Amino acid sequence: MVDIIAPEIDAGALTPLFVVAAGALIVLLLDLFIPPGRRSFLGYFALGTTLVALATCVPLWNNGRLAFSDMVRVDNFAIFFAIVTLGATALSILLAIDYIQLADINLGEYHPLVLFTAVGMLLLVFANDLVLFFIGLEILSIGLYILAGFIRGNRRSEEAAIKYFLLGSFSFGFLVYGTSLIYGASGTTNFTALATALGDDQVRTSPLMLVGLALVLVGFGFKLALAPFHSWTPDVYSGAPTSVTAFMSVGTKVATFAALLRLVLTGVPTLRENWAPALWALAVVTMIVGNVAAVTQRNIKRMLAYSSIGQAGYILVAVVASDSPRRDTSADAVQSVLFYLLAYTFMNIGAFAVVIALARVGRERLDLTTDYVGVARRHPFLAGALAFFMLSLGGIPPTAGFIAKLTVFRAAVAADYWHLALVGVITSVIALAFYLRVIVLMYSRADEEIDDLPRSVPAPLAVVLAVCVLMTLQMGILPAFSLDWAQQALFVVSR
Amino acid sequence: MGLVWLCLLFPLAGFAINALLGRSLPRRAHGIIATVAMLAAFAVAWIVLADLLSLPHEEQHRNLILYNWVPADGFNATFGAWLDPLSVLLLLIVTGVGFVIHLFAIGYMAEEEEGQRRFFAYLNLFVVAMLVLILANNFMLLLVGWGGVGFASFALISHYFFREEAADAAVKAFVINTLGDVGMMLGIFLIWVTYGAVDYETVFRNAGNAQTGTITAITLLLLVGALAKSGQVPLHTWLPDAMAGPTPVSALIHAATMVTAGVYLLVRAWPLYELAPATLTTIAWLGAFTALFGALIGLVQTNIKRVLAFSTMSQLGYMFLAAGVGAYSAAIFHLLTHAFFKALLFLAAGVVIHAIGGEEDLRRMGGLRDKVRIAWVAYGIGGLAIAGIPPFSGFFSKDEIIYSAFTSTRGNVVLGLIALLTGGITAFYVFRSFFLTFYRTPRYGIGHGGTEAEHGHGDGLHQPGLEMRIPLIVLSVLAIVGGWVLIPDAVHLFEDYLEPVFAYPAAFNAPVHAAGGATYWMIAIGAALLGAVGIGAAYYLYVLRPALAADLAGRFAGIHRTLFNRFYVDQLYDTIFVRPTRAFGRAFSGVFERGLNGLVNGAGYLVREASVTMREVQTGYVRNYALLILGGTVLLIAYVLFTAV
Repeated sequence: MVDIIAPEIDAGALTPLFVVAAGALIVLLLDLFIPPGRRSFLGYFALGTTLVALATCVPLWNNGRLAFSDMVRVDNFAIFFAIVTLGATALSILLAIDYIQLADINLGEYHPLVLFTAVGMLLLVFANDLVLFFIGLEILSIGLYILAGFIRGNRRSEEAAIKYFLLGSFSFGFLVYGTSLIYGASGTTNFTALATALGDDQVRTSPLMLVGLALVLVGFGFKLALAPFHSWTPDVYSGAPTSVTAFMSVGTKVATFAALLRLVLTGVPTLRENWAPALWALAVVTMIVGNVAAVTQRNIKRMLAYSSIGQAGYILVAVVASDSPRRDTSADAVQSVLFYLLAYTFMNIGAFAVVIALARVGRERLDLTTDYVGVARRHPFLAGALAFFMLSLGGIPPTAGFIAKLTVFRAAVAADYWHLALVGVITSVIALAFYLRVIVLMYSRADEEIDDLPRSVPAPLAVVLAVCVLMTLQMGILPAFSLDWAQQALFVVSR
Repeated sequence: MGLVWLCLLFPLAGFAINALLGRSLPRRAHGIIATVAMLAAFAVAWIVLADLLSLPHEEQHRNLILYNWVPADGFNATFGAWLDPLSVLLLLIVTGVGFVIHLFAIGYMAEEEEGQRRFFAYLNLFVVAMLVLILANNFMLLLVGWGGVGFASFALISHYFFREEAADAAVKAFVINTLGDVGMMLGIFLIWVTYGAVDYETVFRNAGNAQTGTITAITLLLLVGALAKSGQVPLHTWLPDAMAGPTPVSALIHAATMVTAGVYLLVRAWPLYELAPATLTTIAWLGAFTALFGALIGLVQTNIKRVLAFSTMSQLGYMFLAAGVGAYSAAIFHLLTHAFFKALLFLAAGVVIHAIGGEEDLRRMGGLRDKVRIAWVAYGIGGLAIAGIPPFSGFFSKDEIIYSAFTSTRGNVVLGLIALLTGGITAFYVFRSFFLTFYRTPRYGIGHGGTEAEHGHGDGLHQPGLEMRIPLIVLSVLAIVGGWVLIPDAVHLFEDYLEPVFAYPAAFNAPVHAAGGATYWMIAIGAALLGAVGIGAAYYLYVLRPALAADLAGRFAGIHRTLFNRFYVDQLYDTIFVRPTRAFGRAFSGVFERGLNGLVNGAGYLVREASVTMREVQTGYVRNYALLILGGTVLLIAYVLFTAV
């Protein structure tokens, strides 16, 4: 007989996650008692939940530990990502409060779904095991599948959902298969144990291990929308409700990059000769495909979808650079990933916030060539904000995007990947074509007076815009704070 | 020295007050706030100058660091000011000329119902960005200012956004300047990869530690930015169109300050340019060509502001030529005097335009000498200065450049002759606009009813108020005496002042050009005579001849023959001089416009085609997407296994 030892439960380590999960359940129940006319209360309650979860992150800072039989790793690195993820969730909820009324999708389950998705993201962030990672990814994805198709009866939204679901399932097959191969080769799925097992040369050179790793990277590639696993992105991003697009373009990327770094740096650092070239190739292809394809897009959501593919390519450059055997170079690279993701969160959500702010009942302004011409005249503030986010995404100083690109390229050069930096710089120049085009169009003269613009910006959206503009500016002018914070987040991750 | 931050802070505060609180302020307050901010900054600039001059000569370069902007090892991008005689001189020019133009703008914009707040807020913002550009202690910060002035200029050109030409001009300016910014960015990236730092101190100290090819590439990339910003061929097309903005904007941004940023960059980075002779040669020839090209086009313009815009292009060409032949201090000297006389010309033109109700066409002016006397005097002084007539400021600065073009080791006779000839043409076309504006019979439409009662003048013209007169007087004085700080063989104030700039880092010693001697004076007198001939020719053609013609035709029918002869001469002139010039000018601008478009479109075409191809792959069918994913997976597995072998 084998004695079953009850594992030690350290629930405190996962408080943020539990808070969000509990909040989601409460919002579901509250929906039963709240009249449909007052559903925006649900949004504010969900917002409150994420803020409480953010607060519970604070005591965990500098208080890292492994929990749940080493399945979960709570360290500064994870907390950093948890905070960014929760921040992105909070901003996305604020974005949605008025938008879902506009789009007539103000159903009770919208906010719970967002919160459940956030739970999945947090699991990714805290995961120290491929199995837990997979579970987190599934929770996250199921939430997003439903949210993408949330505009029921809208064929584009439904198409987005079904495409996302089919392709997601398809690529997760690779992920599961890869995990099982890794388990077969090393006898474990735990990142820490994996690193130990890889000390054995036989395990390290086993083809099973390598094929498993490649398949797992495919799973990451799909979720991060890296080319050539990106094809779903433009269709899904443009079909999904805009508030959902904003949420998934940021939250998913942040959480999945956290897991990717965790895997390559604590799980399989000894395989760097294998994963670094693979990610190198993905980074090059992704930067080129994302930025080049964006040039001819007419729909702003599709344009932003390709833009986010390109942005993921830049972040991946720094992930590649983190393979450097020099400890400080590697640390700098990871730090630049964190900084870039933080900057990306604010500038990307900000851009979507403007798109939402320009929407009216039954009509979103999505066509760049017609809907954005001359917007500056009617809405100088919104146009100014969108121009600012475009400049930031394009990497023009003094914005967060500029410093982010700078630190990433710097890390790449320091790690002797200057050719990656060069591809980055060249594609950034190409990218300016479509980022600046938005600005030029907005400030051009409209042939006729635009009269179907909303009069004012609702308060929650104004808050989102203010936060995003201020943070993007602050990280551009005084990046030291955020860089320091990212530096402290490296506390545990460095090998 | 730390006070220099106040120079940034005052206009920034002016911007913030107008932008954030402006709505609740009365209409007149916007201009006053902005102008007072400029005055304060100007006053502080003098204190900074005094501080700098109190240091011994060899220590007149200070790297003031406010805080660490991008805290990363081996990067050295701080937020700091690089104070030396060059940057402090520019600081004084920008705040000083900026102040008088702000003052002028109060009067000029007074009648605008709305948009004053926006106008003055952006004007202050422009000054902030310009000061960041000038004071930056590293290339990254320079780029921040560089982009900032581009944005402010874009916003101010489109001030009258409801006019189609203004909106189009703004877009054009934005696009071409962004093209330049991209060149700058690539250049800075290369600097960083090469020297491992972007701050001036490290880069200039180690300038010689790179291969000539690399330095040439860096300097050429930076040059792209400089060409775009300074409206030099082939990136010049935006500058004339930018005149669609309000006249004070043209004076401040598109004449006195922003467009000179390119020259500033070349001189600032002289330790790099000194090591790249090929780039310097390029700059000299591009500069000389632009000087001549701008002047020739200036001959045929009918819009007064466009005449001045092409002359700005042409004068900036002179400065590039000077920098290209290694006469850096001559370039900065001309930058200084040009800031005075060109701002003066623009403001005088502004008074005229203002007076006759917004008319900018030379063919619809005339006879304004006695109507707006102050503009007549001011434009005359500015014209004499730009024509290089002694003792006006332009005489000294321009001859310094012509002399350098002839005699510098990097110069040659062709460059010198181009510079000399351009001087004569400049005198001709500037005075053509002068005579067309102020002499002969009035051709503008009178009948701006309502203004008579307001201004108390019977002629219906808007007379400039005190806030517009003072700037004209101040700039007139400066356009006369501004050149007296450097008189070869007599006064060496300017050379001595700038000398520390070229003595650091001490490892190199660029020649500070000491003009003088018989050769100089021969050239100078020749240039002045040529200028006088140009003015005389303009006077003959645009004042004397028509008056004479009208007189004779009216009184003596018998002298019809003479008249006919005059007509013949006119035709001859037209055939051998005006028409070829015009054709030449047109052909050139046509060729360049087309060539530039082709170049830009060529690169764009590739990207666009690639983009369209990618769109075709994006079929929308799930099965195709799945296939793509599968293909990618197979490749990735193969790749990982391959790297393991």
